[in-house]
Amino acid sequence: MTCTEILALLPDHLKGTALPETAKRHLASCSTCHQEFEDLERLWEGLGNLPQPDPGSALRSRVLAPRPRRWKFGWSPQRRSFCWWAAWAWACSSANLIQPPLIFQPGWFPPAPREPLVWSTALPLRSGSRGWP
Amino acid sequence: MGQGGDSGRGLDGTDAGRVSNGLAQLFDRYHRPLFGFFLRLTGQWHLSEDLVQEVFLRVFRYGRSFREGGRFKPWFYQIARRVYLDQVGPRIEEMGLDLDSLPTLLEDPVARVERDQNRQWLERTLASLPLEKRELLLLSRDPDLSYADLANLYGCSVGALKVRVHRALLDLRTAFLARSGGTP
Repeated sequence: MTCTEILALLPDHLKGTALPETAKRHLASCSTCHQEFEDLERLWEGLGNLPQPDPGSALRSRVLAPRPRRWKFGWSPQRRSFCWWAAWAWACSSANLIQPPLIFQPGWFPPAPREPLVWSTALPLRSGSRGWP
Repeated sequence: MGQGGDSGRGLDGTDAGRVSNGLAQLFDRYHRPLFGFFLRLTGQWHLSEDLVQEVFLRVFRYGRSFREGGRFKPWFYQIARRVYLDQVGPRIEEMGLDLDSLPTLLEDPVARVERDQNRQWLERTLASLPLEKRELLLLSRDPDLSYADLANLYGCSVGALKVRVHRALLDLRTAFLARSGGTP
């Protein structure tokens, strides 16, 4: 095996794959590859032994605090986005509540009965008159 | 933690109530490695806390996208990467790492007493690497994440990913030797 082929085995070896015998023989005879394997193995081990910092219990209570309702309208400190569909639904429902008094005013519904024909043929009032023809 | 133990116990993709209950278990199990991952990427304690919170919030919100029977950790770290790329990705290089305070941040008081010079150098050297190499080394060192998982995460072939890991390790060695002046 060549040095390039041996070094290509290194990532798998670091993840726990055993080296083939030919690779072991090469490492025993090639000081460059041997040194690289040794150095990178140590660094790999060192990376695995880095301490895991503890953020403390405050973060736990923060993360596991009761969630806001998913459809909550507007800005939410945890959601950090605007719920547009909820805002739209809210606007539509508000419009439906406001509109009925405007639409169904007295006289609009049911439609007022048409006045008798006799009144429609009456002479228009002259200006200045007292209401009599 | 072997492969069998990485099924994300407590996370059920179809039942929001069970996801909610499982969130506490998942938090207890994964928050420290995740916090360490973010802290080593950003170098900022409070920002890392916020990122951890956001990750678990997304786990809670998007638990349904987790395929039942799938492996939890690759899915989890996919969310984690998205969170920090969304929230600090563009600014991360501008913020920079405080190399002097990093080992102090990462050590608890007991460990600080018996700290190892090599470990300090390793922390600092790791922090001096470019972000993508730092991230790759931290993720590839996780025993629960295989190269196939990471290749899927980065959208490249397994062979290409191994080459990247190897190169990142060589860069780490070069920087380490320059810093310590000796062998790793």
